[in-house]
Amino acid sequence: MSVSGVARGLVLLALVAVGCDLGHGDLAEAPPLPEAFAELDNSVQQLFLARRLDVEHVGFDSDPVDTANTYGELAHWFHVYGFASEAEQWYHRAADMDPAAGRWPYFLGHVHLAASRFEAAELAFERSVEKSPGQGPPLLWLAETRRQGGDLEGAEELFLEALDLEQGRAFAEAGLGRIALSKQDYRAARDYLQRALQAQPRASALWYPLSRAYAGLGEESQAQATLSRSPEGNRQQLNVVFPDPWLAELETARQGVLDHLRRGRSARAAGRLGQALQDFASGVAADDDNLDARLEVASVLVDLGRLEAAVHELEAARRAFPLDRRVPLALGAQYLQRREFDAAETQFREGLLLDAEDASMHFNLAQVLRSRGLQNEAITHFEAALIASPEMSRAAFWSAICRLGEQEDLDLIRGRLEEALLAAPEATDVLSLFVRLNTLRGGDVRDPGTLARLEDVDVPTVLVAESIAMDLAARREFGRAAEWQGAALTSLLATDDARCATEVVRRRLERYRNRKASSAPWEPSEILCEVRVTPPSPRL
Amino acid sequence: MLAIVLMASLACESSVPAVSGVQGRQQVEDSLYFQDVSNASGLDFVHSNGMTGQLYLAEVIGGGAALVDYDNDGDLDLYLVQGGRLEVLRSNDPGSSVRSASPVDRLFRNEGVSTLGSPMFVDVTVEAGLKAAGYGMGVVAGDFDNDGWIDLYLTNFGVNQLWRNLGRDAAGTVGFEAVAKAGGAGDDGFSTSAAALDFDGDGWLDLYVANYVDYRLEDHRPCRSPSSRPDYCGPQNHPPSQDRLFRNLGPGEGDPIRFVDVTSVAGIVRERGNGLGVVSGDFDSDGLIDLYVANDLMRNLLWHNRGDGTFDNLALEWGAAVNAEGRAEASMGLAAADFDGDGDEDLFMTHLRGETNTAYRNDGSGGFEDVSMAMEASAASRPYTGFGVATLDLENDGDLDIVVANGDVLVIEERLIAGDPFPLGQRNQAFRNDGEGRFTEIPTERWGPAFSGLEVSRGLVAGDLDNDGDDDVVLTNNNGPAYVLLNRAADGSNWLGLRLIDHQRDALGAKVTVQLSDGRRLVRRVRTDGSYCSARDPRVLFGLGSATGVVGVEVEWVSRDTEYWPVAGSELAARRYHTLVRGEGRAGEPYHEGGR
Repeated sequence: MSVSGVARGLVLLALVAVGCDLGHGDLAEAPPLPEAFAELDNSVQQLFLARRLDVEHVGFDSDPVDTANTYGELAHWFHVYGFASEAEQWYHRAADMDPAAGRWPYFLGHVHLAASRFEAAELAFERSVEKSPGQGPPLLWLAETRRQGGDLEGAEELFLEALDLEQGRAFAEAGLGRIALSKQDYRAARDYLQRALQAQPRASALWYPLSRAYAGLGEESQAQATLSRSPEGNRQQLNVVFPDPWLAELETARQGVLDHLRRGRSARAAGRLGQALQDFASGVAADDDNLDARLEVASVLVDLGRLEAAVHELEAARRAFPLDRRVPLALGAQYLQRREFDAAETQFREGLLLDAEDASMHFNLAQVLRSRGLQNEAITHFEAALIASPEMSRAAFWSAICRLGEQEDLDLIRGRLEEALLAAPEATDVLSLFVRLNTLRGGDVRDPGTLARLEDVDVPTVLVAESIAMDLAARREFGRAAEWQGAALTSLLATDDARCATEVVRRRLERYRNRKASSAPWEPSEILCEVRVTPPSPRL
Repeated sequence: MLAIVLMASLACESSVPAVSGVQGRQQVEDSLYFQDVSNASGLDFVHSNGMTGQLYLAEVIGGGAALVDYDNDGDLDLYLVQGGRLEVLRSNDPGSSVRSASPVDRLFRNEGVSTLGSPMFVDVTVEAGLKAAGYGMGVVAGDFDNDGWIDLYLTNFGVNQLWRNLGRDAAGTVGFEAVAKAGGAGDDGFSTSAAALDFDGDGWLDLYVANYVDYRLEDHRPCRSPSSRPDYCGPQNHPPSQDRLFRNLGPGEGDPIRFVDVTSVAGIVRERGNGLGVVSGDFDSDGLIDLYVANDLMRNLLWHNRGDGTFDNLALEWGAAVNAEGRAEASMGLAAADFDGDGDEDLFMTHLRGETNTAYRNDGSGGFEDVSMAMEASAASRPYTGFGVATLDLENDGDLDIVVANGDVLVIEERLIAGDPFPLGQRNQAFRNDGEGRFTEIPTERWGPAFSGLEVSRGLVAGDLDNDGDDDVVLTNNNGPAYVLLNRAADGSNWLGLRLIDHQRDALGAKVTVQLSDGRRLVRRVRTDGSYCSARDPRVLFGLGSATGVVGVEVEWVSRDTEYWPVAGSELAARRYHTLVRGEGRAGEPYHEGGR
């Protein structure tokens, strides 16, 4: 919803609240608020109230088709938010107002089908087919309804008819394949399902029925091979799809932004980034004033490696939300990742103008400054981040690194690292740095427990691996030290990251091989390497 | 060979004369299949789930029932599982006054059939010494110490219990005692259904315990329906749990019953699931007892018995893990029986609203085919969430019909709007078999109120409560009353009842084939498992339909040896129960010449 849209919504809300007669004479009866209305997200409530008001505006002189559309939009809202009985009621009203339209009985069919009311669904889809001859969606769903309802003959007849459709042929073939399987006509099942899969290879839901068809034909090896491709979880199963402008219309009606966000986050958590992007984008489409949705879009674009698109999205958001500190933070982070330090610094400094105590902003600005070699300035902002958020162990960690680079007092650095460890006892990078610091100082904090904790890290970084090696060498366990150092070097060589201090690592390895502890100065550039190391085998 | 099937009481070596159903039939309209005799029988049990508005998952899962002749007097007694107050569990104060006031499981003794044709039940819970005050889910009946008296294993949300039947004391009272740590079969998770079976053929009944999810009240958080209303959570909100297999070692070292947990060594540990139902059977006809487990929203398991104490899950390879669409369904209750009359055990299971009940036809070698789409028992089930399922021959025509207990686990919006404080109620269903494995729903009006009312049904067990030769039904409702429904559709029909005895107890797992005079062969298995959280009548009933009698009976015992009846000098008269004891049948030729 745009800003003006919000204002309009608030005005409408106010009018509804006071029961204002808008002067339309005899108005259509507005539906009551659903019982769970108050539990819905506020943005959804406003959308509903707007549609409810639209219904109230309908008068006897209104065009019937327009009225049907108004009723239908309200029905869509009920439909997508699970108020099935209300949806059914308003789709019926829409169908009554515009009896020639095929879409209202079509939506009614879906409401019934979702509730497993097959007879009612079949009747509704039949009406839709009757009113919209030649349309694929109602024909295909009528066939599918009959199949799910157990009328295999009736379904088969329609699916065969649907094979002539330009769109939806694969859906029909999938249906025919499943019907053939139910009839134990395994050859036909195999052929239909194979064709559907050829048309839509991503339709993973078809692998299992295809494997059953092979099994029925006695083709065991094919059955096994096909079975292995069937996803284990229901959620991973993708069905055959076809273009359905009517259902797309319903999807558009799903304008609860939070709902999009929830589904998008769920999809992203499941690794379905494409779906997540689609959901978040739908959220933006539903309400371009929702910054959360726009940030989520950018975030998924980053996950997908589409950095340019992500930056483009964030820049647009920056213009639209000049006062929200989250946008410069996200945009600056993208520039930092692209090593566009000037642009990044600009964003973070502007962000600090919006909120001078934003720890993340200070931290990221400090990273920019450190990358540009401005260690003292960087330390200032790392410390500012720590003041704003004392639990931010990474700030203490990097502050320590910068101080090391500036050859500051090792005791001070150690104090910072202890703070970081206190805040995040499991932060392995901090831990390893701590070990290294002690080693450099000739310290005596080489307790076996610390080493064991480091060696137990699932995916150690170069920093961790080197710290282990350094500690082992200090114990004069040069063989194992060389193994860890070698593993670190191997991983470094496999990267093209120029920031990594490969030569230093190589020299240190040579020393371990020659049974000498490392006296090489500590290199901050090593820390920059986020390269993951495969631990030496066997792992101790 | 010389053993004779005597005709005395069921508790002795023979049969019970059939009770005429005429008097009972006078009380009910001819059109009804079942007569509700709950009140007349004295059954006053009401399940309490202890709901407080928190919508705890465990509230809507229990509870079951067992039909068990605990006092060996020849008729079926009734054990009913109670819920209780979950908040008590959360309070972690076992001695609290709230706990002491919590309702408990109850045992009802069958005092025989009244003059009106209804069994009469008397509450003997206290007399029998039963104090099962856990938050109950299910019950398994089996004679675990082979002393001839049926013991009870109780599955709970919490610690499971084993109650050993002590037999009749000097005063004539039959009582139970709790076995410490369930004799080694303890489980303190969220157990649901369990099965008593002799998987290793050593003569001692073992235990398979299905566990649902790793769920603790402390972890509870409410879920919401698609329309944002508060609702119960599904299993997907919790980690799946580990089922357990306990091997019975037999008595020893001062312990009357000793189990050892073989979950790991038997290979069961390889799979975790949301287990709700379990049934045993020989699904590949290799003579070894396998197990099938119904998982809620996860692939079902078919544990193939390898014969060496280990099992392999072959459900996917054998086509019984997911439905024909390839989707794991929310399986709840289940049944294994020969629905299509081809001699092997098919599978039928109940599911969540929106899914179908699913039937898998067995090809006899463990190859299953989902035949649900062609079954009305499936399509008609889509609006309902099914739990208990009983397979019984309603009309004694020789084929197995199906009764399903329905009741949702998620809020039904229409009922919530209508003001129902527990809006999960649904009507139950029954399906008639046409003899070839095709089922049609029997109209609701042919059933009594227990099937037309909207309740949250869970447990469902079949058994001949009035010993009149047909299976009756006991139905339990979550947070509602239990029902006793007497079968009136089979009154006057021809039947044969068998009780199989091995090691002094019901020969669970034995396969019985009856050759009828009209050439048909009917196959049943002795079992108490299946359905949901419940234990059925271990006797097997054969409706003879138009056949005038029985030519012979073949029994394949769990030990894999086969015997035949009748033996010389005896006959298997119809309309009676007969007791067949292992070792007293004939070997060799299936049926003696006179019987052919």
